Amino acid sequence: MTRENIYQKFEIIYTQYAGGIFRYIYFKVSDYELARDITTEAFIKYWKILSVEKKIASPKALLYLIAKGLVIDYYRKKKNSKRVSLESIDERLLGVIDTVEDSLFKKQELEQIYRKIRRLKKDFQDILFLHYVEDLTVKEIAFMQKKKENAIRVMLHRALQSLKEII
Amino acid sequence: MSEKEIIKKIKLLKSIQPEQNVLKNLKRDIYQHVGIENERNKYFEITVRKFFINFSMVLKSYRYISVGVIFVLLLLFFSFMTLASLPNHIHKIILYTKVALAPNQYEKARLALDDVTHTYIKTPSLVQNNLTSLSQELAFTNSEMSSLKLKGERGKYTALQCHTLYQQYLMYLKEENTTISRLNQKQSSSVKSQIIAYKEQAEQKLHMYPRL
Repeated sequence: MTRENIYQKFEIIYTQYAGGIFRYIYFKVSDYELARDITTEAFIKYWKILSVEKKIASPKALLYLIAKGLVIDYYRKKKNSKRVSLESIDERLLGVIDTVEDSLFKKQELEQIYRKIRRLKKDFQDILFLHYVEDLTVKEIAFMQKKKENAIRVMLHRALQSLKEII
Repeated sequence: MSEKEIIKKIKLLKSIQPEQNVLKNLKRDIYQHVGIENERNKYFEITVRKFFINFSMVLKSYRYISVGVIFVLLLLFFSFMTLASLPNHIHKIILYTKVALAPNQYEKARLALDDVTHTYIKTPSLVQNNLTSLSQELAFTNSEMSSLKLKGERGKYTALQCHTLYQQYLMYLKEENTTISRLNQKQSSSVKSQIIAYKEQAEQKLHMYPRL
């Protein structure tokens, strides 16, 4: 594949998924600047894979897998740093909903659900976020988690039940 | 709460989004890292150089046609210069077009305010000679500012943006009022009362957009 081809493919993927990848990483690290850095790193890694691989079966799942891997690497390197518990979502990520009407209410509602999801088990958090926020299919999540589709369906159901109990 | 309602709540998190310019900057960083930026710049340089080489070759091969083309280009250039000698008129047309094409009311109001601020505050000498024009521009800006409303254009701009814009507008009106007060012209009194009326309106509106 020529570099121009890679560039064209990358442009499409970036336009489609950059916002989601940023949001997913932010959800995992709760730090805006760090989410920026890891997002950049994830796409650089994706570019490198794109340059080598002839065909990528599911670019979306691969991107989220890369992002997840980088977050794990980050926490592994910083063994002593605890995960920051999220009190409020960074203002810079709320630009879209920050309108005068009921904006405060919406913000509170968002932060409430955000905090509640983060009280769940890590696996449940991930699966709920990937499926309902990032719109990854069960098949794509199964590829990411290296599990069977049925196992993912069961997990999704359990995650929802756990969240229901908290809410 | 039913499962459907919970899912609906989770989906609310989709509205967490980084701004588009942040994503653009990230993309630029990525391209710099993988070296595509340099390649594209080089490609652009080569294309421009090729264009000039081809252009000069065409000029050499078709001498008479080239003279004609140059004549037409010169004619266009002088026509443009003549039109540009009517700056006020052209300026207004450009401003009205920009405002008409702006994607939302916030952008329209911002364009109008930027224009009136740049034209009259940065060059105060213009105020003395163009009171009628100033009055017209003020009316235009005020009408665009008054049309700011979040209800019909939810999500396109924020209350905070409106608040900041109104603060800028108020500051501009105060500054313009000081400039006008220094003039001793009969005509300036009507513009002054126009500014005072707009100032009062702006102060009222400012309270409508409290800082969140």
